[in-house]
Amino acid sequence: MTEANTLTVAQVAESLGLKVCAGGHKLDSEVVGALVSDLLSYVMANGKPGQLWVTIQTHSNIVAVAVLGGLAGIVIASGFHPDEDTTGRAEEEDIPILTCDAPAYEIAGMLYQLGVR
Amino acid sequence: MAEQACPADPTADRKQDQVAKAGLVAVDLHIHSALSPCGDGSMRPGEVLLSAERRRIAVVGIVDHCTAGNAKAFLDASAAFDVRVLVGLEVESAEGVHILALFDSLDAAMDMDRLVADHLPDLRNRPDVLGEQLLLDAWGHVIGTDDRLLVTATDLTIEQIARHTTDRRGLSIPAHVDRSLNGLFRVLGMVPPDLRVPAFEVSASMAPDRARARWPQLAEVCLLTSSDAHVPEDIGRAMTFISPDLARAELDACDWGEELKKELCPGGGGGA
Repeated sequence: MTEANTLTVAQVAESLGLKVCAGGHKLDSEVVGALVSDLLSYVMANGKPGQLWVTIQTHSNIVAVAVLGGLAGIVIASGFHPDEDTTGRAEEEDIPILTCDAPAYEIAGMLYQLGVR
Repeated sequence: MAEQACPADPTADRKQDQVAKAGLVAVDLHIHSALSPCGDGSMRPGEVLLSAERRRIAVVGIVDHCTAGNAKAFLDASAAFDVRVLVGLEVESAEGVHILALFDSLDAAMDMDRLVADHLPDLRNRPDVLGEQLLLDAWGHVIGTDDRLLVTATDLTIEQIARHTTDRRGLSIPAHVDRSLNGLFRVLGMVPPDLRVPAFEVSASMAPDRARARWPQLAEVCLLTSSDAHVPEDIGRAMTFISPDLARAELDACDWGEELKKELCPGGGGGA
């Protein structure tokens, strides 16, 4: 089931109506799963390559954490917006940042329904 | 909160005797007053400064959550004690990280206090849940209460807080970076590359050497340990030792922090 449902970051963004904030040229990576956390140390310890990370943290350290973990991209939930420092770093590091008004709980539910497990 | 507090380190006196022989004096830059909802009602200028003096602490930092409302009381009271008093705030950043902003002048502390007030959400304290927030005078009389919710995050980033502190000639120190709640490492994973601070604080339960072994980023930086005291018995349960000359140096908090960094950095100040 997972193989049939493998989606790219671009397909996830389009299906869920996420706004691409940075890293728009890197949306072709495959999303192999997702995790939700606002503690960056937790994501550093538990994030897996190819995962999409849902958080409300906007600090530029989120980009470094995504790079370290080889994550597919970051979804910033609840209408929070990253500043230029964060988006600039994301562009440099080729990390897609997507934003949305929906809270992390809803985004997680929608990702699950899409087949991201 | 007070009931859960750890007792003072029973070996502290012996350690301090050894340190005194080495010609050093103690500083404890993270002490809460009765204005912090988790701070004991007895954390008033006389009690705090007398406890510090008895423990032979040369410099204290008085901070409350997102306010410097008792700064004047402590500075006024300090004239009667042989303790240097820095005043300021323990500010919570937008990311949920605690950072100390310490000043030697009341004007600077209150200027920072006003800035932080403008960046707090408009919420009220619940004394029944969190405790009273007592405003005091130098004699420890209650002159009012602060009814804002102070134990909460501002919308300032940690870098902005550090910059605003330095702009006001203050000393900024990320607090208890090792702690799971509101500690820099736990919340933000690592030290942000643009964060300009002279020193980092590890919590009372974490010896600086152990912290350096665990987080390589700390290898070259100035590390302090402080009590984060909320009750008088905890004052000095963790301290940092510096030269008496630095303790007395007539410098503002910003320059004092730079000197502190030189003295405490491994290799004498080459670090971040």
